[in-house]
Amino acid sequence: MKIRGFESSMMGRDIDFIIPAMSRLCCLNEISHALAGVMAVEKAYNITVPNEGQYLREIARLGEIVEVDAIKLNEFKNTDELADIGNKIKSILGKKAKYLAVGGVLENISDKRKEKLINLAKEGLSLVDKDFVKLVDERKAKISLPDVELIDAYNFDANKVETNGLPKTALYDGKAVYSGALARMYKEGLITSKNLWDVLSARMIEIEFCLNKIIELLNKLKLTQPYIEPIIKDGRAVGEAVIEGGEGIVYHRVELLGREILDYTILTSENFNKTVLDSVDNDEAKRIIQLCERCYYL
Amino acid sequence: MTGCGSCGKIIKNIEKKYYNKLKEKGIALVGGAVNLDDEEEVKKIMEIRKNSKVLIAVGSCAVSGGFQRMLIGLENGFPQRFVRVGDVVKVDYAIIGCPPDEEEVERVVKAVIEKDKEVVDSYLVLKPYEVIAGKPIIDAYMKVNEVLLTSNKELCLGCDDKPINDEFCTGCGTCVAKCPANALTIDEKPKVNISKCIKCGTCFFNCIRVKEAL
Repeated sequence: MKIRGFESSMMGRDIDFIIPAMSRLCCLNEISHALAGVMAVEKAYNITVPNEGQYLREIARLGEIVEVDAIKLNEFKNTDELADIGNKIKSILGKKAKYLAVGGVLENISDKRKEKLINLAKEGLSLVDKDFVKLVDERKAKISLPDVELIDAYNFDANKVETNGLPKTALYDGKAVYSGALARMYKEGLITSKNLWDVLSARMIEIEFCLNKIIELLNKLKLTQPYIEPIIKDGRAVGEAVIEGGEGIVYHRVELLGREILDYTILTSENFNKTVLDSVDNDEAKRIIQLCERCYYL
Repeated sequence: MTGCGSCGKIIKNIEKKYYNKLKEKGIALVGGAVNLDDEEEVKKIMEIRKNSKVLIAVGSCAVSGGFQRMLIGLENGFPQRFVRVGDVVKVDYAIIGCPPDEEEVERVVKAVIEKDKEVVDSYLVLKPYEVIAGKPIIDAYMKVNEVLLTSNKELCLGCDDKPINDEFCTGCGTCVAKCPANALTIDEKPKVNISKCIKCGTCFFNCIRVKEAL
């Protein structure tokens, strides 16, 4: 795959184009790319989103993480059902984030659908294999892989990022850093190792963590209006947003003139993870990280 | 091929289910647009065509170039030209959608496998590729200096800011409900928000009047 031009192709377009375009950057990270783009616009114009809209967005984002973690574990374990559950949950924002909008989410779900989603999340929890971590530990004892430095969206400073070449490879604070499930679960204190093998353990742990969070959020939903018509000001504005998506960090920065996009910058976990893979240069590490080409060749 | 991978996921699921029959009948499913500036990709699609008896383009990027036509490369100073599969090789059948419905793709594949003429004729999606996507327009894309122009022109499937001409439109709203980018609104007649439109063609090919005409 070659660079498709997701950044350059946004220039001169209306902000309405962000959602349909970014949700087509990568099918696995369709929610997080669209969401990061929308949040960057909201930051630029200080647009507030109703709580209900924020809950729906968060549920979709967590559903995406469940799906991606499950898909990436598939190389080592059959997780098709979990991936399917994650996919169904993320469609709370519609296929390809159809109902996501600057200012919230265009439509809320019905009572019936809320119930269905809760049951789906519970079904997912029953499919989580808690013994999987032991299997990873066994493998870890047999084949040695190094520890890695970690980065997550919650401690992210774009000024510390140094990108090189095209497609971009990125260093953080001058170091190769891994972004993804291991970084998130390490930050949550649910895993204490930084070893590359534990990316796998972290994915299984994270599926359970996200499904519990999804149930919590679904119970918070009051099914009220999740959207407020935003006011887009005239004049120049800059906004940036960094969130954790299915693969890892998703950073979007927009420079706007009213509704027109002047400049668009995207950074993904895969820009960082490629640097890690290059430094480790190991086939097993490639199987574990499974670099997403679409998020790398933007 | 080049795309977001949604159609690839659908194709993978269907290939898993019908692997032996697809192989036996020489049926290939392809998703995504072709990047003319990626030699490997062009070589790959030619190889797929050479090794298959029936080629089905799955999803709007493969059928019409879809969303990929709106991308221009250029990050490293070089434009990338994304074209539909039918501009590079002969395609037999087309299934539009961004993403297409997996059940619909399966229905099509089953019908092609079984050569069920009744089923084949009853689905618009099983009309030959040329009916869905028109004649190859590769000439327009082949000139490097026209790449930006074609991208900016946002070549569509015949629509401007309406899925079909008002005189044919019954105002049924099917196109609005089917649009995957939420780009359509309807008062009496549907209207396309061009800023949101991804040129996938879903509205046009789901229009009951278009179905009748085809």
